Amino acid sequence: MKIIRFNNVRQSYPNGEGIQLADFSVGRGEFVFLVGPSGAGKSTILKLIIMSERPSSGTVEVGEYISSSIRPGQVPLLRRQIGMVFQDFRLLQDRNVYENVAFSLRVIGKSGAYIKKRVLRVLADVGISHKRYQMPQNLSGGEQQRVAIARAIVNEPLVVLADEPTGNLDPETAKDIMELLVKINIGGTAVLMATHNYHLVEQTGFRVLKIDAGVIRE
Amino acid sequence: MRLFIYSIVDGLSGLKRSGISSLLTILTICCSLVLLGAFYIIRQGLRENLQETRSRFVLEAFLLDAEPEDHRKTGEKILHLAGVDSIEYVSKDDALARVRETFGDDYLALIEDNPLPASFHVVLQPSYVNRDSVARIVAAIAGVPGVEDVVYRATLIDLLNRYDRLVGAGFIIFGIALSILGFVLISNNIRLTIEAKRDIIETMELVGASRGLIVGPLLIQAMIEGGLGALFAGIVLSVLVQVGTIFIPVLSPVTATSIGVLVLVGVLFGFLGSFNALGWRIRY
Repeated sequence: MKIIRFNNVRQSYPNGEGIQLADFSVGRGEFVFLVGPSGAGKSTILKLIIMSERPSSGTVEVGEYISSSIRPGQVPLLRRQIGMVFQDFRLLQDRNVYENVAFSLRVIGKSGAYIKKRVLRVLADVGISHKRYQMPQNLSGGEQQRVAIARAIVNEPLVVLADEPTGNLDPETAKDIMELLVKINIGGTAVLMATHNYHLVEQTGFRVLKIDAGVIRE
Repeated sequence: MRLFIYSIVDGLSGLKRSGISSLLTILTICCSLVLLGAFYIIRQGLRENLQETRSRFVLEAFLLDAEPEDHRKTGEKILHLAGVDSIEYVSKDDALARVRETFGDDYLALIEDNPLPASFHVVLQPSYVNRDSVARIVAAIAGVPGVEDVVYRATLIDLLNRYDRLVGAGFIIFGIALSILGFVLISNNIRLTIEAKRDIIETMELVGASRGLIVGPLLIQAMIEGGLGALFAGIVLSVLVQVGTIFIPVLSPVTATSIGVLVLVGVLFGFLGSFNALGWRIRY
């Protein structure tokens, strides 16, 4: 079963950049790399998936939502089915680790008791529960990325989108984060990871989508 | 309901999280509302002073010589005229006593009979103390049987009216300008606070937070800041008025009701300011 499907998608920008042709899908439980040099359009693909951008032509389908027919009020509902991990972590800087992860569950209206139980469980899974009362700015890069991953998976999304999640980390920490994402994938969650780190991709046997001159090829 | 409770709890937590930024917002709101509140207190004091002067405006209705019973009937008719608040009867003897008191016995030594007429001092309702109404009431009193003549200080009416118009127009223009200035100051301050949270708001959008979940706590936080700023402004104004009354006696005291109104204004400014700032920030 496909959870993400790009149907002849083109996305053009006034400066001439963009996606010339994207026609691919990601199935449930798959781990897929999206590789290409910086500026090739990897982030554009992710923006199209979370529907912060709509394609110039073609359609993007994510779960039950289709880019051509989704209403603005449905965008938050779509994003609740997607876990996002960013290169710059994007944690809520005014809240501690626990509150950052709990926020994803508050968004979907879970009860306080459930949130407490679930957050502690996920923080333990990503190995950061001992820092749950720390503020993000007091954590290392690797620790912040673990928190971001915990936040991405806490509400059991269909897919985790990781945009250069190891880009700001040293090789050792990057390896740890990669292992964590693989562990999440083994648990049944699909992962679509954008990276320009070919070395990291070669170490795994996962499916690879390459962006070359705005065209996506397997 | 859950969203409402979350907004309140998170809005309160937001105050703590924002720290110095929240304190500065409260301070800005406090200063703006002290300025606005001081303006209204002075305006109120002047209005009350004007009203007080109007309530002391008196017409003198001189009466023809007649029996006291006839004078009483004339007085009743005057009292029932529209715009008349109260009357005071001044008999011939009372009038003489007043002249004696003012000018001394020597002044009346040569006069054998009391030449002074009895009269009524007619106090008008303050809203009737204007040129047209007074002219109408004077004509009505002059038409009452037993009244010989009616006199009053026309120049005082003109002076009061001119002063009233000046104060009214000046205060409306100044009041509107000051209200806009206060709102813009508060609104911009809240906008800056929210602008500083741009990354946080964007992240919240990315994890699927609904508009209400993002906006609710920020609105509540801004309303609390507005209310607290206004409360402090009320306290500052109370102290200022206590001290100011020594130098400017016409100042009205700051009551609990006025502080309540000020807090409501602060909450409203906080709400409108943050609503205005958030309107363009959320993209769906």
